[in-house]
Amino acid sequence: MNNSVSVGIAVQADWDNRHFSNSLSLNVRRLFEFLLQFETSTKSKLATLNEKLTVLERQLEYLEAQFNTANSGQF
Amino acid sequence: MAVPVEEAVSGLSTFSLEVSPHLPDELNIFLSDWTIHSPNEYVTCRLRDEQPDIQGLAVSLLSGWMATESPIAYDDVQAYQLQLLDDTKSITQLNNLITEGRDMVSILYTYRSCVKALPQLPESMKQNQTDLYRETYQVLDTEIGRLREIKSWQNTASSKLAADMQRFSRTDRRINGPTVTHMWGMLKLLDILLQLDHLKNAKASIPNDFSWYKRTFTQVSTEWKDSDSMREELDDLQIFLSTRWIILLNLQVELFRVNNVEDILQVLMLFCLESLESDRVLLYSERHVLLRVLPVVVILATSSVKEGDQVFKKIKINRLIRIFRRDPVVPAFPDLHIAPASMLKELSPYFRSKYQREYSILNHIPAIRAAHDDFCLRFAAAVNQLQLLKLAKEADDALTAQVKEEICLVVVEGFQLLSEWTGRVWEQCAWKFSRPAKDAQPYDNNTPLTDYEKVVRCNYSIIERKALLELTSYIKGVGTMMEKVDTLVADTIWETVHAQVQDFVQNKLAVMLRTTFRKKKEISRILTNMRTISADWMGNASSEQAATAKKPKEDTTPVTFRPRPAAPTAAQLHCLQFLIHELVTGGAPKKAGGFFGSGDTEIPSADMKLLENFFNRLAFFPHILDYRATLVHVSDLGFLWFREFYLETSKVIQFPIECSLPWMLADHIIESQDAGLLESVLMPFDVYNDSAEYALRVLKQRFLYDEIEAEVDLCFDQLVYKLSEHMFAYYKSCAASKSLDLAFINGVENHDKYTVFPRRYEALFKMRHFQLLGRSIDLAFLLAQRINKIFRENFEYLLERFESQDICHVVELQRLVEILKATHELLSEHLTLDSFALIMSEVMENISLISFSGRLASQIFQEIQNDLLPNFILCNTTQRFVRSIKSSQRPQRRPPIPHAKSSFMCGSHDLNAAHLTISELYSKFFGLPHMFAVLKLLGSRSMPWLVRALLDHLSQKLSLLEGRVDELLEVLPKAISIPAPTLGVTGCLKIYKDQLHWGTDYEHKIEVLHSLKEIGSLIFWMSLLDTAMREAETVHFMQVVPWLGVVPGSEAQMQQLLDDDGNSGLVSLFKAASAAVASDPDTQNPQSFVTMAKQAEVADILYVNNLQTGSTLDYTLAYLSAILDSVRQRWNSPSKSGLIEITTSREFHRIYSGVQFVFCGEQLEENETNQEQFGDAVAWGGCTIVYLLGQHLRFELLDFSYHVLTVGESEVNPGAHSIPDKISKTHNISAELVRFLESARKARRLNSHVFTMLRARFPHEEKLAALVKQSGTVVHRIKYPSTASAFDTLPAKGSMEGMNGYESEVILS
Repeated sequence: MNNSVSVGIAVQADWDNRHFSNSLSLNVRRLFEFLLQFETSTKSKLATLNEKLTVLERQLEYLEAQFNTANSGQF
Repeated sequence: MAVPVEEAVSGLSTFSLEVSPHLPDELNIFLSDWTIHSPNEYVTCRLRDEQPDIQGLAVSLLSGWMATESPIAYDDVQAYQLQLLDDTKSITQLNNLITEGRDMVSILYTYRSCVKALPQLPESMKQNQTDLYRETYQVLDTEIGRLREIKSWQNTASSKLAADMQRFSRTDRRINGPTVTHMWGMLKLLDILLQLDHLKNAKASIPNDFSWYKRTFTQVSTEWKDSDSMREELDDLQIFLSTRWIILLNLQVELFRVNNVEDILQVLMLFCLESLESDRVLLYSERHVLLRVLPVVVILATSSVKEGDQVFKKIKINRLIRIFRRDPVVPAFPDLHIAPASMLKELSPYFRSKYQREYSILNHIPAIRAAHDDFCLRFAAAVNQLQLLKLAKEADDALTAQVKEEICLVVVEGFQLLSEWTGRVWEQCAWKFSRPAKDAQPYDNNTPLTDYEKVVRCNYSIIERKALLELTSYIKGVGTMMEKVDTLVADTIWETVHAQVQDFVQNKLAVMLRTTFRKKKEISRILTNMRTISADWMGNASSEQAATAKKPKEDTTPVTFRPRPAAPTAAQLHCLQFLIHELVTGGAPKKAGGFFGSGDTEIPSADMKLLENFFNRLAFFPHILDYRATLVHVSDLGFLWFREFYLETSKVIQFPIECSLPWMLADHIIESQDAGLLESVLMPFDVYNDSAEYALRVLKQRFLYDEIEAEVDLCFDQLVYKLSEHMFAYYKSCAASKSLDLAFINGVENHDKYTVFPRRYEALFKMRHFQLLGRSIDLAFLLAQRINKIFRENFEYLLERFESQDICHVVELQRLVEILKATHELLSEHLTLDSFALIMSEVMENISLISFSGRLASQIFQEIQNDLLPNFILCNTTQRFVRSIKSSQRPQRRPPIPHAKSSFMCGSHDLNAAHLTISELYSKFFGLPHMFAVLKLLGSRSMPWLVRALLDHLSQKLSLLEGRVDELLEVLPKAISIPAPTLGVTGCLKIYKDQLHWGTDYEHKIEVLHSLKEIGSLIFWMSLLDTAMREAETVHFMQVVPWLGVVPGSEAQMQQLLDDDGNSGLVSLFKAASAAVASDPDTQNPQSFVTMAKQAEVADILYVNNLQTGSTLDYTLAYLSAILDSVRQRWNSPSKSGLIEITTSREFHRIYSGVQFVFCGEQLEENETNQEQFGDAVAWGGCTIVYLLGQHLRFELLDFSYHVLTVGESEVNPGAHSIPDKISKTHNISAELVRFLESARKARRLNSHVFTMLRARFPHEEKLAALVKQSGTVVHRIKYPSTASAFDTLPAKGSMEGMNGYESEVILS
């Protein structure tokens, strides 16, 4: 009987501890998930930005080529 | 509790990303999406990500199997004091063996023959043979070493398993066990052994390599001293490798040796049967393990006939047969299956019927579809409820419990569905592997089909592929959906599991203890144990005491407890399972029939039911708790790629991607153009993700990963290529279909073929971070890049096509460019493409700032110069140029029409046909539509260049003509007398003919005509251009004018109405708007509006100055007139007296009259008339020059043909129209004369048209002339105005005789 009682007490303590550790791990996971979401969201935005820059770059190249036709030999 | 849980938790969850005030504005806006202020918000916050969920779980962070497999190897079981020490040790031992065994299995599965890679020595190097042997030996030794390891491992494993079974099998056992986990361990180890055996049987390369190894060994070992022991070992290994099923036979021997294992085998058999018959097994993989192991257990249990009889007395053989019949084929490896029947030869007669219905996904897909739709709805609803609940401040307890219960249920259901679906895919694969396509035709005539092609490439029909794709998408879609809410539902699931366990141990067990089992000491001990190990009293001491103190019966109110998000551990679940098992079987597992429902008298059926329910639920709990790991496992389709066995039998290094199932599926989506499947096109790539994961994490083979990576690289390139082509074609056909006439589409019979049905590419355009093999890929960017390229290629093609055709096809070109432009507009809505103008100028090669010609402009100019002017004739009536008859053509060499895909024209075959038919209408002439097309294509940039180039060409032509005219002037006789009308038509013509020998005999007369024709054609071309430009400019004018405030003024002149501040409407509008915006304090960037107002001013200036533009035709005429200045002296010699020289004139109009006489009277080519050869352009050229030289009145007065015609007209009724007819009827005149008169009449009409036009467009200044009055006095230098053509104001016949004399009379009368 004593055995059973001591097991019972240990189990009880275990439940409490696990409650704490579970909450902790869950919140760490949530933080992590948030970071992942942050990353994907950032990636989307950066990709859009990147695309805009690429287009601008190409336009610049075009303008440069145009400019050079008028300036060949001078620079 | 020392640590305050809530504080720590809230500390963690109040994570926020505050916006810093120091950041620039844009960045602040950028970050504001991500700001989170409270924990609640944090839980529900979804960051904005434009990307749609059309991909499966590409990357998943796994926290491991925490509940299914104890992370501390059940070390904590001891704490519960259930005397399970031996059992736990055995479980640990078995688990270790299983882990090792899995590694062995993956080694064997991925084993590839080394011998195939060994080099052959050439004849010249035969002396080095021993070296080669030694090297080969070393290489093979490592490989064979692994086989040796496997051999010894299976020995140990068998003996350990046998010993373990024996220990737990004794009827008078002293130790507790085996637990359910333990049984699973045994079954799994058996499965591993079976897999090893099966692999060893199936892999032919292993004995092959081994025999080679042995041969090299005999060669090498001659140099060694004590090789006998090694040789013996080799012989053993050979026996091991060459004997089928040796591992299982070995195991059987081991079991036979230790004896006394029948009990445990029966228990295992029962366990398998029960688990398979009930739905206790959640994961498909576990079900497959059971199916694979069951025959092994049967074989082991019935090693002799006697034992067999004994076994089947207790277990009905029909149960076995039913299971084997239902699943005749069980998947074992990605591309290898196991047929239990073939293993159970004695049972084989039962398994001959066909089970196609069972395996093909096709037959299940409607049910699966319905289940999927239903589940998605319910899952989303449940998650929604949960979110609402979390946001709510106060919630009803009952409602909360209900919502949470519902979440748990849908999660379990989701797992069940996913597991069932993935299991179906496995099973269908296994079934397909067991039934290769028999009558498949080879794809390539030269090479026969490989075995793998027979089982995969040819074995899936189109509808089967579609069904498989659909199922794949469901699996991946549901997987993603469930993964997204992982952390949202995690605590809810813990709470629910906790609640269920507590409810069972605190309420149900309490009731049972108090009622049924009060008297039964053994059973109540077990029940109490169960309560002890898992009850959570949460400081509720009274209920704890109440439970222990065994309160009186009447207190039966259920205990209420707070929900607590804490899940039971693996050990707790393990112990609970064990205890229930123990309770039900009463410590004697050998009972017939099974665990539950065996009619045990000790436990009443109601309690039994409760226990069974809970027991079944216990099997689910670990998987639900391992939410993410389970999810990844049940949505893993990586096995679809693996083909190790077939690689070996086919003796190739790797199969082409066409044989690869994932790519077959992706390709099917792209090629079938099934609009419903389009959004699933990335799903097959998730299969590759899974495969790569499997190769790295499970099989642990780098080379497999490399192969997958290489295939993915290739496939992904293909995907982007094909997708972009199809997208382009789709949007092209949309554009082409829109540009068709609506009335035509409605009127046409089969109008479906001209309508384009929508396809949802939108989701794909938003894929910004597609996950592939751990890389993040910006699919939209790649597509945009590719489509940009396609646009250029397409444009290039259109130009090439135009270059290979004549200028009449400019309308077609323009239409196609319009369609291309519309396509660009449609696609620009989704992708960031280069501007169309940029693409156009790039391809047209007119980037340069200082050069205005371009590829198309110079092509058009060349066409005009080389083809249109020499080879086309002008028809004044239709205002068109048409190609003259072949014989007189200057040949043109053009490149052949390049071949192109239909997407480069209008997108689809039918649309191509429709548009080509329209373009065909314009392909045989050059007229106003073409001019509009040229104008649109070249635009204001290259058009001036073209006009300039043509004018230069005009001056060249004129200088050519100049030489010829000068030659003619030389041969012109001194005087050409005008025959008297009294001579009659015939007489007049004859006299002229005599006098005009200089003309008719001139050797270059055709050349002169050609020059005149080309000059005329050019002038007419300019007049067409003028018409087209006028129209375009008028439209432009009408659009611009209201903005500039221009209104019709008093004298039909334009008048600009200005606002009070002296600005036009446009400027004041923008100024007012920008002022209003700038005054608003909320405006973020007022500067941009000010800039806008400034731009409006600039626009105003530009547009106002462009309102009145000149005319091209006027300019051309002025230009021509200026050129003529150089010859004006020679060609224009007015008489010194100021009177007209009637017979002795040496002016240009005389020459032209001569040319016209030739043109009217003489047929210059045999088979065609002059009209057919030169058209109306000669008159245009000649008359324009005459007019510009100021000789048109003299020409009309003195022309030879006119004179003959006038005489002819005077001979018949003057009012008649068809004079030549009448003449030929009344006066019997020769046909030649008739022809002459007809031509002359036409020429006169045409000339007068040209003169009228010229007078209108290029009026001469008022000129001075001399006048002889009727009295005979001469008045010098009288002014006369420029009038309309003389023939418009020609006096009637009566006054005609008098007109021969003086020009002035005509003018003044």
